Amino acid sequence: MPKRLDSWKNSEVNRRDQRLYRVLLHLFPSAFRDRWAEDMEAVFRHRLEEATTRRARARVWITAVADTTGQAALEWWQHIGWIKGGDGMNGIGSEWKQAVRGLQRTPWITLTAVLTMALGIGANTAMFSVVDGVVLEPLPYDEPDGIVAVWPEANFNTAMVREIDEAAPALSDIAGISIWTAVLSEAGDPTEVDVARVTPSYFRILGVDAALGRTLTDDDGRPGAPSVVVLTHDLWVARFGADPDVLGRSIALSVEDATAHTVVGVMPNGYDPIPIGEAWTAVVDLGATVADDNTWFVNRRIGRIAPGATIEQADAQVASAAQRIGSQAPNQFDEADLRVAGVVRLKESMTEDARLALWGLLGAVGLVLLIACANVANLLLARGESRRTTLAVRAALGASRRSIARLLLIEASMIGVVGGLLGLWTAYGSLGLILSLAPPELPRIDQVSVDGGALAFAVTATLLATLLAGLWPAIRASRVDPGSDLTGATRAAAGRRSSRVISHGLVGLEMALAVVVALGSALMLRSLGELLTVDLGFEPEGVVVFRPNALGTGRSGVDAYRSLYGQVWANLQDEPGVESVGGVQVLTGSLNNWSFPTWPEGHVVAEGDGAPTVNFRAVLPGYFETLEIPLLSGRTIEETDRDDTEGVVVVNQTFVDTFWPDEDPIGRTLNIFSRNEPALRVVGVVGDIRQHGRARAPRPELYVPFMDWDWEMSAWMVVRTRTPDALESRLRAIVDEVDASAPIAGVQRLDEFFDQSASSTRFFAVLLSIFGFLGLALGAIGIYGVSSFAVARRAPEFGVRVALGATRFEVVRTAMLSGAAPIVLGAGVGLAASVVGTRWLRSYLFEVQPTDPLAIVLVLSALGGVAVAALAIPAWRAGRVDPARVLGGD
Amino acid sequence: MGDDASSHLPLHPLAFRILMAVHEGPSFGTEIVQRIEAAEVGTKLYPANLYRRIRDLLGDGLLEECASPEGADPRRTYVRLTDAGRAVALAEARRLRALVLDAQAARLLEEL
Repeated sequence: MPKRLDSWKNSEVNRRDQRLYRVLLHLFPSAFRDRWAEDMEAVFRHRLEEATTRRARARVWITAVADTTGQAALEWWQHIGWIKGGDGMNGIGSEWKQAVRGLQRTPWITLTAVLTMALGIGANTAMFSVVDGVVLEPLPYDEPDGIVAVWPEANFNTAMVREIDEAAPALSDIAGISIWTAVLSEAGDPTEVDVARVTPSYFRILGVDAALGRTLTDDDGRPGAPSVVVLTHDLWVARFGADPDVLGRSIALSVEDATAHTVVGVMPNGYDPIPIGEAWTAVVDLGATVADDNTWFVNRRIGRIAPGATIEQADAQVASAAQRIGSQAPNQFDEADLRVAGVVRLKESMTEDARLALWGLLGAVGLVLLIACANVANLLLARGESRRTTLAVRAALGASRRSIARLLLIEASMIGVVGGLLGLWTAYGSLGLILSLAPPELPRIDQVSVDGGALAFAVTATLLATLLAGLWPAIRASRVDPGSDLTGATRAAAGRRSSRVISHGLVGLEMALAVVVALGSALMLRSLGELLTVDLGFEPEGVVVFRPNALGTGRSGVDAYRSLYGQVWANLQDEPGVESVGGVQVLTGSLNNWSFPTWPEGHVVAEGDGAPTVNFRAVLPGYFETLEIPLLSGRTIEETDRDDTEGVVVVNQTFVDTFWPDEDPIGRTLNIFSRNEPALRVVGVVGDIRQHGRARAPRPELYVPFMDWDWEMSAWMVVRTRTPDALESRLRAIVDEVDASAPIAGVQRLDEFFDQSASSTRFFAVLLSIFGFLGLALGAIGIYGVSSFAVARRAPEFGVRVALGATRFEVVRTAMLSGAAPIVLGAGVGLAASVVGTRWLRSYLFEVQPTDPLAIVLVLSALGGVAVAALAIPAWRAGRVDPARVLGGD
Repeated sequence: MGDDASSHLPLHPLAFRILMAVHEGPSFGTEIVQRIEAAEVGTKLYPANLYRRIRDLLGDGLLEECASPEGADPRRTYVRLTDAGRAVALAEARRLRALVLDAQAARLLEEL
């Protein structure tokens, strides 16, 4: 049964792959392509159909590209050979052989050029694979362009989903989605699973069907309908051993107040849930009005554009429906929410944050490829110059200019093709590195591979790079004049001068590009440094966190929650090695947040503004002590703060600074949710902490006693211990003493968890640094190549200088200075260009300006060091010129 | 005919494989690939290499195009062996057999 699903996804992929293969076949002469393309596609399809994994598909593609490019080159050779009719000095066949021989004669230049190309193309292909997988590749659903996210910024209830569905005929369907942590106590230990509670139209919108049984129907979402569940393929295999008889079975799955669900379907293997989830249950619409419906958890919506309608129409209809809803439930939305109401393509909404960053990285690595091209062009120019005499002999023997240019272009193509193939191999190898660095929040990152798209990119990049690097040197070198080049006349000398200007121009260009990329990487490294040394306000090291779950224990009501967490808290105190224990309902460092409208005593709210929202944390005693959050005045939350005592609250320093500056906050009161709620009295002030990771500045925050709060909340236990490994191995036993049916989730070290909040910055910093390093290294090779060549060419001149009494030092200085001008000029242009080039980085920088002087100094000194080294080696050689030898030769 | 056939020898191994595959009966690309890969486990054939070879065999008159069998996809190009093709395949097989016999006579096969 699950077979069918594989083919469902495969057919999508295959269609795209075949289109790309068809494009690739354009490498063949049209006569061959017209006759055989259709048959070749059929064989390629056969190859693809055999490949069931991504890896296997990548292998098929790599071999197919090698097969096509290699055979196409042979075909062209044969094709042109026939037209030319034979060999001789102008024959294509002889040129190929000569090209190979020519490349073999200068092995170091050939090797450097090939490796330069390989690095440039490899890095670009790997980066393109990431952009392709994350940003470009269509979502794996039926007609993905018609799927939109509906008003993604707002919080919805079920009634709003219904209202917008009715008010927006340009949407054929709209579905609400809400992710819940449920407990599955069936077939194995009780564990947490992510359940997506969805409006049944969800599956209709995505156009996917169950592999086994059915998906949800509209009847499942009506009041009083039995609780049913659809499983993902993975959950079905992991928990139910892929047993098809699971259909119709009632399983112990607790979501909100429903404790049992009947399995009605299993989804296809490889089907990607949006946004996440291991199972689906139906959201029941009780038919309340927007103002009365308290299901404010429908926090994501997707919709499908109706046939014949446009996304603009849907956008306008949703925007006007939002205005109406806003007036029905005035406290739920502020002006800013209503202004942005509308629809946006689902893919764009999913990849929004990553898009700019990834394109920026691709741009940076594209600059590296340009540097590589300039480098290869320079190497080929130098090669052409050094072969002027040989080429002039060929011209004198009757070779046409065109045939000489063709010979040099063939050489460049060979470098390009070999470099491209090596580059593909590099891309394949380095993609693993990129993926291992990728931050977990990067969407669809698990779908990235070197596939058809990446290969098509590599082929295009190779062709362009070959043309860019090879065309001009070939044309230039073909302008030989047997008359002057063989006699060393002035025209040839002028030609050498102009080619020196070009080489220097290319070196300048390389330097300018290298500065842009290197400065980008220096800025990101500086940001990373700032981020890693930012004061968190607490000490995450040595703290183990985990969350027992009261759901599914068979007990219900707020007392069940309180007793579970209270007892686990107490038992943890007695564990060996444990120094202190606390707890909180939202894990410190996570991006989740609870915040509520708050009225601090005496704080005046401006006319027309709502009450300020303040972060809300319910904590168990010992929370501040465990995390070493400093107590600034008063006291923290204590065991005696329970629901039979007066309501107390602890606030952070930012809260005091914002609402009660210059006043003593202890003893003052505040109200949460509404002015009519009982007031809470402030008993303490604590230091600010970086609640949402390193990069986000503290907000006003209040802490209430968990045991004094009448809600069914889960708590994260935070434990400071000297022996974290021992504690982690004991957690199950500790919770078992209280309730063996309570699952444990999220066991981890707080410092490691917190470290993830720097992962995006680290990703960009490391990748940009690799690109910056590549840029500098290629630039250095370029400088070295050009100045070596210049020194070799000027050896007689240096010989004369030495013979006339110049010291070795003077000769070295002359040689170095003549190469320095383009480097200085290029670095200056690069700095100016960086002002524009690093602008895209601005939103990723942390406490560093794009014009950060330290970064600029770092880059310029690295560049200077590299340039001096690359200039010094050939210059030193110039200083050792033996006048007797070089002059004797003439 | 014998002299004509020997002018094609030695055959490229893939050309020989194709001729052998088509010897089983008229065939088309994917089926030829399957036949060759079934006979020589581990081989993976790719389209460009295959069809340039088939094109050359057609040009040399060793293969010829023929009508698709009834019910087959009309877009497929079916090829069959010509008399010349059969003669060349046979000559190549004999050549290879002679090589193997020589290897045997030189006791090379026993060493292996």
